[in-house]
Amino acid sequence: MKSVFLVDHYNEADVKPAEMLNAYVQLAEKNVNDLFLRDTFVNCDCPGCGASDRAETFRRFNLDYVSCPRCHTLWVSPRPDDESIKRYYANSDAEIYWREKLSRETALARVERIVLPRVDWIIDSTQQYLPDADHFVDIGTHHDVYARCLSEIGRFSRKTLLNPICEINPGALAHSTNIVNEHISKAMPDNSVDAISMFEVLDRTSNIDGAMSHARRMLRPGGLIFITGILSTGFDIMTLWDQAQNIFPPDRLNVFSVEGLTMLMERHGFNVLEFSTPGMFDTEAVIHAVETNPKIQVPRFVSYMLENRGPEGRQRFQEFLQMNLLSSFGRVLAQRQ
Amino acid sequence: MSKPVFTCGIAGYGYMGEIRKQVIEKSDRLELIGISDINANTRQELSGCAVLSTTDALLDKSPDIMFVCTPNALSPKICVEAMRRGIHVFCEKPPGRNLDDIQTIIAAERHSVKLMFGFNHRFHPAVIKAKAIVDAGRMGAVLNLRGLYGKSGGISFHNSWRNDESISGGGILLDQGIHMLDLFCYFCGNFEDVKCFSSRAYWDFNVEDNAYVIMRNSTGQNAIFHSSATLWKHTFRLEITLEHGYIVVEGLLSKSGSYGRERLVTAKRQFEDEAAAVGNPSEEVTYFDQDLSWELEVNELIRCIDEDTPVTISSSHDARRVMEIISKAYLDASNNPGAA
Repeated sequence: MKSVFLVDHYNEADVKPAEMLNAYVQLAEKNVNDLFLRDTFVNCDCPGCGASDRAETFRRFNLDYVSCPRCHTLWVSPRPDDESIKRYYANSDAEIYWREKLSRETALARVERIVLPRVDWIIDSTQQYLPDADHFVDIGTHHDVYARCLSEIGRFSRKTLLNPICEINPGALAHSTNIVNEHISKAMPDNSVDAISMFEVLDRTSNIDGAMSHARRMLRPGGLIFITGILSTGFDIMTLWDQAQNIFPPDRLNVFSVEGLTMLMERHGFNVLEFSTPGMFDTEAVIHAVETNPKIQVPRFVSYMLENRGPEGRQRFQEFLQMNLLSSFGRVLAQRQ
Repeated sequence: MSKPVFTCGIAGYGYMGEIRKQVIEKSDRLELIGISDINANTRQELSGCAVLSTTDALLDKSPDIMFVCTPNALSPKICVEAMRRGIHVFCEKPPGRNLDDIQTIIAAERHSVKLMFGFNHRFHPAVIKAKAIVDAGRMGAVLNLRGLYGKSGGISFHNSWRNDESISGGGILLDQGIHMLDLFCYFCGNFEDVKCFSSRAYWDFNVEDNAYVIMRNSTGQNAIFHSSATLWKHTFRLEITLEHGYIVVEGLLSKSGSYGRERLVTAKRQFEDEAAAVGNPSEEVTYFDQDLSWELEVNELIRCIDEDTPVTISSSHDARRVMEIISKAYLDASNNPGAA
């Protein structure tokens, strides 16, 4: 297995300006309370290792996060089902705000910092592990900037954007790209796809085992799956825990640990080829949280380091987190057995 | 239907013979039937298969594949005889002492047998990924290469056959540097123009302990390589500059771990306008934790036998090409006043 870290310098504010992010979170809180019908909620076991044991942790937007004593995954249970989540992402003010304001106003930075590196990751890894790959499917992208970049990957002769709520104008996409507005369970014949990307999709999926089963089903043997998501074992999440500002439903219905996500892949018949945590924002998130709310208590060492080691020291600490799989942004490349 | 198991013999049980034995024993497609070694003490340590004092005795056992792990002077004769008997050959690098040796081996090559050489570095994980990035084309064409590969020798280094010209045919450039030169060819094809200085800077050998090679090919790509037996810190570093960025392979997963953790650095050129370039682009660093290179290269030979397809990776063509470069380097070094 291999792991990747990035030597780069940019701030979370470049891709998520604080003001817009706060507005988005406020809308999300209101929408979650208004749109989800609690009598339809379902209980679920650990989405990582599948264990039924759990420990209560904290509430966010009136939903309960629990944690797995075995693999340290964090998840919401009971939780809305996928149909409810689909409706949320189709209709909520929060999602419309993200799509039409935040995403568009940060488009240039997001393309440069987030999207193109992922495109390169897909191109290079496919060349390495499956050079004859032809059909690429992205699951879950419904932002036009992202979709356009994925559609322009020349590496594949066939590209499909699979999302039941996708409202992207097909004319904006590169030739040979199809948009399929169907649920993953109904789309694509078995063994018909060479590579799949699911960027931050597992984070907001209710039926994780169902999604993974269908991803495996549509991939040919040896096919590749590219996954990104937020990890519970990252420095900022572990440090801030219930005060972590980026953990809220339904965007982060599941917050896998490194171990939990690895077990999820393996129990669904995938070999993990790469597991990396190339996150950039852990230390910055902790600093921002403490500045915003001085009542937040962080460990004495962390407080000292962040106050006294300056930007370069913090940057080196962030690189240390990346190198040791301790950042809260994870990316996984796995291959269907 | 299960695939056939190929019987194997190992000629020479030194450093490489030991590695090959481990690979064979781990493989469910290979069965070790015999090892030959000239050294009686070495033979005494071996068990679990036939242990023989001569290569001919091992060849008489008619293995499907012969692993030739002997000193350079002996390899050609064994390769030739094995192929004459219809035995597939996996020969360690270097493929003999000089260009004549590899040409002798190639002359004995037959369609019915597979011949592969141990250019193992091609199968290292960072090199595999670097090759994939170059082949994917997103970084553009390769502009130039720069390599540094060296070691510090050791207690037994002074007495090693590797540094006896009559047995090895050359010094550090031929013994270790050949890997880097092979990688240069792997990324850029051939290099026709070769210049070289060599020296006996520290060790009292009759072969070079340092070689400084500059090369150019017909497409205008240039390469610089320093091969050294006086790098007191073991070092492997390959820099590939491309039109739109660069790739660095550094460190090697090895038995000793002395070359450091294997890693690959990639970065994109950030500005179109040279005047605005800050010269410190964002880099992505990949660390590799598992070396499957030994298994992968042998699996490639097995694949060629299974499918009866020509060997195209680490082939006799690759071996001759790199030996031509080394031959030119040695010739140029010998023509330089003050050279070794």
